[in-house]
Amino acid sequence: MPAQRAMAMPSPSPAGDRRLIRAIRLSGIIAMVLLAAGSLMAAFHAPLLPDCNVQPTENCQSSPVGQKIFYYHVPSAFAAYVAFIVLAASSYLYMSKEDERFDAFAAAAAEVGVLFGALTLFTGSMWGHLEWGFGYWDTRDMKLTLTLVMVLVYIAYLILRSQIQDPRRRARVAAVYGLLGFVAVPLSYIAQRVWQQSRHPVIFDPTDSSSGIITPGIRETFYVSVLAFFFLAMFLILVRGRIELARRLRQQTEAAE
Amino acid sequence: MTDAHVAALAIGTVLGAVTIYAFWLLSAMRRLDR
Repeated sequence: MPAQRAMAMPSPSPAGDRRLIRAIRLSGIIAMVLLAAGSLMAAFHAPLLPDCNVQPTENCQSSPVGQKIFYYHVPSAFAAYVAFIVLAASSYLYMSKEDERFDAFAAAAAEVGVLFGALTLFTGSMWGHLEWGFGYWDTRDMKLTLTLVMVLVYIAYLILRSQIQDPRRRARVAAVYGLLGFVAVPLSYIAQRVWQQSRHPVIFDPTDSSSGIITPGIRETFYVSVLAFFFLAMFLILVRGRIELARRLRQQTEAAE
Repeated sequence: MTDAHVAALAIGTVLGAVTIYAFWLLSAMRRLDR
């Protein structure tokens, strides 16, 4: 009797695979075009905010050039949230339908989410270095700490997956962990709204005139960048998911031979 | 390092990382399709 129980995987239909390839191509092209447009707009179209040392206004920056990081930092965070939402939805669907395809896409979304989460932390640290001063990291600042915790939760998810050999058990444990770990995502998003002492600015606040994105030029650049990263995240999840499915199918075919 | 250098490093890291990851995935997908 084999030590590992093989998980039944629905045989992929050629039409389904063609649809997946079409979605990969479409999301890839849209992401590439929007990313190029967003980068050009960030460089040439978006205005520099006033320098606080020269003109102390409500939305001034200690480093006006450093504010350009904003067009990559916030969309990276948004892409990480999207990936973790896909992970939670796939985990739920796996638990209710026991279809291995959902487990494959949950694993893909976790990897993509961790990549964007790490990029969010890195770009945030670079921006904080310019805006708040060298080496700023306050553990009482809940936005910073909870975002770090969120990324660590999903790094732990990937480690957990790699440590369980039985595919069915791995999928089940990962689905439960994926759903429980999702608590970290809304906590990271709302942190600076709930814990007022956070130095992290609130980006989406229509009632706050100093929230930055209302400035013409900055607003449309920001939305183009967010859309670009959304399609980029979807593209990467679809490609990674398809690789995972193809790998599992190959293993199953080899085991049957 | 000036502010512009730090901003360029941060933006370059994001664009570089996603490009390398995307090409790595696409080549892995092509290998599996063969």
